[in-house]
Amino acid sequence: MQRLHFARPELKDKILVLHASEGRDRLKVVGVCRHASAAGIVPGMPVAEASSLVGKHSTRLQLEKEDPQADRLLLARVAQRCQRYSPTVSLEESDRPECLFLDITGCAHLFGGEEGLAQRLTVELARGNWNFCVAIADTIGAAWAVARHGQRSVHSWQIVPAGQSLAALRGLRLAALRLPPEVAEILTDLGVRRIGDLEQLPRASLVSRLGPAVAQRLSQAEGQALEILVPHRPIPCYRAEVSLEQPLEHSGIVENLSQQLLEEVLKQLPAGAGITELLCRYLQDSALPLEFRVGLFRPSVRKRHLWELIRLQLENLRFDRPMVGASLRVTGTAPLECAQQELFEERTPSSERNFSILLDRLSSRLGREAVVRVRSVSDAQPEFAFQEEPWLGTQRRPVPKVSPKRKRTPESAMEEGLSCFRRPLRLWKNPTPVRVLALAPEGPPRELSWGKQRERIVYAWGPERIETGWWRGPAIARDYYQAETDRGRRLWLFRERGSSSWYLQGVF
Amino acid sequence: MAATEVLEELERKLAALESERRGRAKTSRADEAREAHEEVYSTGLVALDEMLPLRGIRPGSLVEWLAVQEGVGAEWLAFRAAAEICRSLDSVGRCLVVDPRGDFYPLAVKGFGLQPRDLVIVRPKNAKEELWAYDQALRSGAIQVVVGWIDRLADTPFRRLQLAAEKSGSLGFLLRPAAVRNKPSWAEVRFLVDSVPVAQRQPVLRPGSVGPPVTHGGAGLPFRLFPQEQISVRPGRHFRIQVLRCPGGKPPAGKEIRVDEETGAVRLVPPLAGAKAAFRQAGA
Repeated sequence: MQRLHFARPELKDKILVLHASEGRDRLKVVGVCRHASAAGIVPGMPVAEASSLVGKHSTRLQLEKEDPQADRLLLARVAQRCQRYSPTVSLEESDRPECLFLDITGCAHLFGGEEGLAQRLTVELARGNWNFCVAIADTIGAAWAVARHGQRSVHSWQIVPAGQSLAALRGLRLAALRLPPEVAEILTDLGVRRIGDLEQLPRASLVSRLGPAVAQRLSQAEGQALEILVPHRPIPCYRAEVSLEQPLEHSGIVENLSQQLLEEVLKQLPAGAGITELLCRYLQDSALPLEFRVGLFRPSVRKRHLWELIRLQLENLRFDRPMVGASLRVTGTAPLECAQQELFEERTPSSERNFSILLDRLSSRLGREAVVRVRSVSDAQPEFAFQEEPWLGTQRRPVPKVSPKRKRTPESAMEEGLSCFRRPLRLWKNPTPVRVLALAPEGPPRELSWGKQRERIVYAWGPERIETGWWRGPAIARDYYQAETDRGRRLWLFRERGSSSWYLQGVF
Repeated sequence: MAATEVLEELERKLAALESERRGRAKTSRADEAREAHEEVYSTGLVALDEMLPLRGIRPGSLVEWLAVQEGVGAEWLAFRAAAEICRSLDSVGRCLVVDPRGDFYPLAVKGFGLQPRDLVIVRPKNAKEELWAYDQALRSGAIQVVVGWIDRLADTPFRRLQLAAEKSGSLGFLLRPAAVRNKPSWAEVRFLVDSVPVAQRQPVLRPGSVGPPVTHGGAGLPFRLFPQEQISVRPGRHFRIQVLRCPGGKPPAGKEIRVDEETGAVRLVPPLAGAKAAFRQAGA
């Protein structure tokens, strides 16, 4: 939220709502500003419901897609600035970190004590127009709880006296203990609202009834259990740039300069590190700079391969004005992979390397979104029963394993095996309206015509009824038929149950 | 010399040339692949393999699947064969699909045994990108079979694709309309695929069935209306396949293949008298 306000100050007067997708066509709210909160919008709510709550203020509603990566990068920059106060600065361990932890052991005296340090930090962050709270305590858990849930105002700081962490937490709500949501829900149902209420319960019974999480968090807040801070290390910047005294237009010179920049950047990389993404930027004389990203499926330091990928994109670059400068920056690195070749493996390292090179080249020239792989999703509507994701950027994602609870029955295996007969190889996202003659109102099709084509249907299998729920957006209710025409063609068509209109959606 | 003797002599010379080409020093990965094992890949359909003199498709080949019209099953056969080849031994096992129109439905190929992790889908935006994608995929050697729909293919790019496949040992399955059958082609194998209309199918006797055999042809079509019931007995897919070109000899006469949709079994339909007339009528 603060990131967006910094980038676009005009959003401060808007009802700003952040959303994330939850499967196809389903958006849910993940963040709200104070205006949105006042309108009754809460995180977890569907976006459609949030829009309806805004009502007459709908012109002020501003929906923005969340960008956790950008948020994390901004927080990382703040962490770097905070390193003047502590050598150990860490980001909150979360998918969407919102806090920084500073270990000020042995550092406070340099700022005139803990108060002095807190004051200096507060002044610096306020100067950057951040909304924040600072808390100093003996333990990570106590500092987090007091900063997030203690009595606070914006730009405030609190110091919990030494040895009194648990006392400071007693009056706080359960959310201050960083419990798993399901455990917090159980405790709330049991009438436990404050951390002080938990203290009165025997620890052993907490463990046996709710698992180890509650006892562990209490112990961490007291300082009896260990909690580790993982220091944030800024990603080193490998960058090369050149400024030209005279603007240049010749494409050959652009290529030569780019090659030189690539060589410089490769020299900067430490041993064992490979490039996974490059940002190439070309400055034009009195015009907007041109830039493109080069992504790799596997980290690489092979100059020839990287140059090939850059050159493929340079071919599509059109300079409106002469070039006055260029820069190359490594925006993604990963350790180079070394694998020992096995004697009987099906895929050799060279074939895997060729595959990586192919993916890099295809993605570089055609675009990341044009080279995809698919995975099945559980959705009744056929066109939404799979999700596509670019091959680039997925190499580190493990192949999802089948849940042991969901055993593959012989029937499901057979169904999968016969999917080549049940589903067409070509499916149109926009079905074609057709005219169908059926002898019974709800009966199978007998004759089919669209445009100038007319075909008699000699076999029809179905109906396969597919319906989707109203909660996932536009509901569908269709009866699908697989039809064989008198010319021997196999088609997939459906009748919409509400309107009784017929559509052709695929061919086998 | 009589015409038949001339033809036989030409066939012998053609076979000798092809053998000489296989016997010479290895110059490409395709040659190495051919030397390494059986030299051919089975299509997974014995009936289709038997139509080819070499009993399969050689590595490094381009194969054209010409569909008489949409929906006759040329794609079905091509993907079935591609899946079989990807599962074969010593295969990198990957299939790349060039999908310029964006209407390929990937879940349909799961039934053939092609897993999503082994499938790469490429969506080029124009013809130039499409040809480039084919070229790169065939040339890389990392893809076992490249499948795609390509209507127009000029001679020079076609030759380039053939050379790319030959050098790497990958296979290229080109799904094309039958209208291009008379155009020059650099494909090593050309299949012309049509579906056998119901009226031309032979009667099918179901073993162990009670009652008279189900007739699928003739005037009295047993088309039954099922307002509330599902029609459960599927007569299967009937393909009429003609090999327009293949290495190793003269292409055989066209054949009919039937695929049972209940079990997935495939078998050759023996020809009956009048089959030639049926082929001529269908324009094969």
